[in-house]
Amino acid sequence: MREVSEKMKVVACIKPIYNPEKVKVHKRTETLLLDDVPLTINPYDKFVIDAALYLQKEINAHVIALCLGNPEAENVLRKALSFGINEGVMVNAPSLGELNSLSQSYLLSEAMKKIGFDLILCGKTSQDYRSGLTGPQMAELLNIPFIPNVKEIRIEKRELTVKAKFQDQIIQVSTHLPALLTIQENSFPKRYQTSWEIHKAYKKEIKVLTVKDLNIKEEALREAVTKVKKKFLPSETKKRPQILEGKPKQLAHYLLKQLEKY
Amino acid sequence: MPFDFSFTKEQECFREFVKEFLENEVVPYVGKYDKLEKVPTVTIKKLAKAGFFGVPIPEKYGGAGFGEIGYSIMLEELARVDNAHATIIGAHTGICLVPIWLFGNEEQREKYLPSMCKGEKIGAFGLTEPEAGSDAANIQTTAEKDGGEYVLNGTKMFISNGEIADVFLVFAATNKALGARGGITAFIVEKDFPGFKVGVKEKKMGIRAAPTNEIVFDNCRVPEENVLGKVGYGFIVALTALDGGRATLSAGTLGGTRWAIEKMIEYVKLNDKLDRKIGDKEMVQWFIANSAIEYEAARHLVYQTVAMVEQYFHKIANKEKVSRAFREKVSRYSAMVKALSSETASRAIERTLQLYSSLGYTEGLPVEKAFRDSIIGEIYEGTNEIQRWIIARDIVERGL
Ligand SMILES: Cc1cc2nc3c(=O)[nH]c(=O)nc-3n(C[C@H](O)[C@H](O)[C@H](O)COP(=O)(O)OP(=O)(O)OC[C@H]3O[C@@H](n4cnc5c(N)ncnc54)[C@H](O)[C@@H]3O)c2cc1C
Repeated sequence: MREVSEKMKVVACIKPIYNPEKVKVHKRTETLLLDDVPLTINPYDKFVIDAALYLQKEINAHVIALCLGNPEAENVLRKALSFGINEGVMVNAPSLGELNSLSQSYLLSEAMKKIGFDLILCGKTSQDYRSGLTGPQMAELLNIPFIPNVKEIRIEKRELTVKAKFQDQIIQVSTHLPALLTIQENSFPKRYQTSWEIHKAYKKEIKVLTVKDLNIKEEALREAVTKVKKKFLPSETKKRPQILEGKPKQLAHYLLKQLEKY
Repeated sequence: MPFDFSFTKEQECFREFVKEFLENEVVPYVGKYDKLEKVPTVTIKKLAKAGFFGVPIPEKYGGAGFGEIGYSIMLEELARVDNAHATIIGAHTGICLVPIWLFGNEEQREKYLPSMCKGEKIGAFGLTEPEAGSDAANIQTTAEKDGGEYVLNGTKMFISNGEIADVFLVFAATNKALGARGGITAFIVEKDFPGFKVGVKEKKMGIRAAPTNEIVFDNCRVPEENVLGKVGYGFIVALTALDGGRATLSAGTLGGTRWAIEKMIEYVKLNDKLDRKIGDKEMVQWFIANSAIEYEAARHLVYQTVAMVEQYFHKIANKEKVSRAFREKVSRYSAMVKALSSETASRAIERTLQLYSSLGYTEGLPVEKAFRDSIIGEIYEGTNEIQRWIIARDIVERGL
């Protein structure tokens, strides 16, 4: 067995978002009702977990899940661990309100420096705001190569070769570590939790970093400037199912006609 | 906080995992295996790998360490999607694996628990005989000491997992004259022991993918070190196993009730879309409301009982002293929830069938299967009449 320090350190960024299946919309005001809505793993980050655990298996990487959020988000981090991730780090930023995405990337990148890394994996985007900014911003702040939409990863020594989706094509890119990748959906073997791993995950010690622990200039942190003017749902189609009656032949004819319209 | 019935974050995470896993990996196979009346080996392998076969057992012995509450959460979700799967895992875990953990010595625990928790070895529970169903003390299977071994002779019937199990917890009379009080002993029997045979498979109205067999002991030789607990202590082993089995089985039947209620809601909503507003009809509202009331009542009592069983088992496993009053309270509550929850499920599924009418009565559709599958909850691990006998006897003696 090699020592942990000799292992490749892969950090998977996990974003907690409100569980979209549990969010309800107020009928009249059309605002989102978020009270009691539990946080969950951003669905795009599930693919990050798959990729990280693929590397854990293939090259015996030490995988760390990193999560930025309030203390409530700890449960999300534990859920991520329950897929078999080795270690969890939580960056607690409860007092800072809604930070803009650059400030979030700044916090995350400083946390990265603190914990150390060879490879950083992020989701393509997040299902709540879908800005897709965190990955590239972090790479810029850390001054490391960035490759988006990665579908395959090969690592030999410090050389990294990936296949990534680029518009309609798959391109192959090589670079050196450390680097940051965002992961394309459904590219790595889907991992399930097991009951054993879930129980272990909830017993693991989680390292908590606060702003004080990081080399952060607080004045550089900015609140989100995006102001939400209106939230609304796409209008529901009021189509009703039809029940057709008649002879089979007539019905088939009618259906064919309907289909031809499309 | 005695009135806090909420689950921990860990338990919620576990339930979420179980649900998702079953939806993706088990549900697609359920109808097929029911129809074939075959053991769903494909799904059993998957479930074993995901850790469904050792949920309550401490990690030290290869289990997941979720205790009886976690195990009940799993059974609830499992029975919601298929009662046959729940029976296979329930017979393995609740009434074979758990009693080996509770009453086994360290050698027995280390020998049997890890491979059983991984699902590499499957367990079964052999108590019932042609002459010993409800009257379980009337065991005719005998075990005679012969040197360092016991020689078992007799036949057990209706043994869940009979044809797929590797490890059997078997109850036999070591001293007929003493009967239940000191005359019955529990043995761990492996399927490869000489003189052990699996007999006929029963054809059943429901839980068809869960095999039920006769098992035969024809001068079956069992090493002395495979006595579980003390000689003559077997009836207590059986009753303790059944206390846990009944409580957790009730969580399973709770899953059946929830399924039925969900199906009723689905039907009402579908009809709503078709402009047949049956949800406005008072009778339909009664179906749904009554099942919901019974479900919530059962849910609270089931998990309260399961929590009690968890405490109880913890003490037994640690060889701590348990008061008679606590033991009898656990038995009474387990009996209560067994009857309550299984009947709640049967009623809910019967209402669902009535609501679906022709679609409920049609073979191959889920409601008909659920109906056939639900009734067993009122029969196995002691009929509901026997549960009532236990409850009444205890209450008359000691009050509510
Ligand atoms: C699918 C299936 C799986 C099973 N799996 C297992 C298993 O894994 N291991 C195992 O050991 N057994 C198993 N059993 C056996 C099951 O536990 C027994 O069928 C059950 O205990 C009832 O026994 P019996 O069938 O002999 O009925 P009987 O005991 O003959 O009962 C007949 C009727 O009389 C009633 N009755 C009997 N005595 C009393 C009384 N004192 N007071 C009031 N009413 C009474 C009963 O409630 C019932 O209605 C299984 C049974 C089935 C159907």
